[in-house]
Amino acid sequence: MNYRVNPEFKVEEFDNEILLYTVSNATGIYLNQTAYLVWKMCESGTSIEEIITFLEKEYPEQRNEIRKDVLTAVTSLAASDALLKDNA
Amino acid sequence: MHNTGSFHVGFAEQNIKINWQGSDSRELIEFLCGDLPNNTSNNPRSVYDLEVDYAHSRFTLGCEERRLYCGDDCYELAYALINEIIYQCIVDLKDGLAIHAGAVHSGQGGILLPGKSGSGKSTLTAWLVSRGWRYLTDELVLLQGTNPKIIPFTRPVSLKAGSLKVLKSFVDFNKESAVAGPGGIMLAHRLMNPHFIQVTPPLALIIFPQYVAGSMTEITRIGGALGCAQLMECYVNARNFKDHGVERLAGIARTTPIYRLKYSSFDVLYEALNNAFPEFFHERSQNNIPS
Repeated sequence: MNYRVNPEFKVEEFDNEILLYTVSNATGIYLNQTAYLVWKMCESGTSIEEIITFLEKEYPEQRNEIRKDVLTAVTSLAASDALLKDNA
Repeated sequence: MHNTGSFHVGFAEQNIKINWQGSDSRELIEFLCGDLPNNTSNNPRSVYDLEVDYAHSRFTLGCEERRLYCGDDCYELAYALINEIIYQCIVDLKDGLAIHAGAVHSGQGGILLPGKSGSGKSTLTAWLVSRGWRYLTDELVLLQGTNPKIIPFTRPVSLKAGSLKVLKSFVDFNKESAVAGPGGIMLAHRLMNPHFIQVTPPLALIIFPQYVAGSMTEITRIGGALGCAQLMECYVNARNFKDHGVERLAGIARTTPIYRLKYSSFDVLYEALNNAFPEFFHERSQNNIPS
């Protein structure tokens, strides 16, 4: 399954943290590092499987957690409508 | 023959006019709004008509042709009137960020306690005031300016019926000093701390209170992004700004220390706050009021 970012959401960067917010209803979503990485990679058109493969290669010592962390982040972002299912 | 008159609430530069009829009505409006600024320099935005008759338990509130309350519960009437005033003051407000929050003032600046209904912010505000902090509000503030100062909507402390037992553990009061009903109570903040002055202190600290029955007391520093996300949940006039004012809110979250407080009891809270924020929570009492 591929996802695309919801263009209604804007990014506000803090020191080591990210806030996503909508301009339509001022809802804020706090992103941890994994969620922000997922967001950025979805923004550039990368599929979820490609994100997992990339991260497992980059961080082999965390291989066991990466799939779960990415899917958790995707589920959370999709539940907030920050990520939309890409049916194309 | 009844005496009549008008009271003008000028919070956020608005003019909300309340016509009162009879001394009971006048006393109630002074109890509810006596610490709010007065403004008659512009035309009233809304005009309300208030009639209070304690002897016959008859309470009515209207606005032009609308009847907002008619019944025998003074608390419900007071609650409706305060909510109307707040709505009228902030519905078009663009000069300041309106945040649903309690607030107290220490000698080191204003402490903001944002939270949704049920978070325990009113009870915590009342408790802090009973321990010597100066009362600002238990409901709403405006944050104005880049180094924001707190403009409080100063009303009586309003608590749901469920908080009454806790309140009685640190405040002595009787029926005459409160507006009470089955749904809750409004209590004069001067009962908790008679040393009140109207101030608009700079914002120094933000604490998100969270009452969780049976929990341990926990105070956790949170970062700007999470703090901003939580502030957005308490931010009530966002739609009045082109970008929803998020950049201004983010600026506040970047420059103000933000904490989350989980608590279930006041027994150990004082020590926990004192340890976490010694500059704000050093020993205070009714005789040691911050200036």
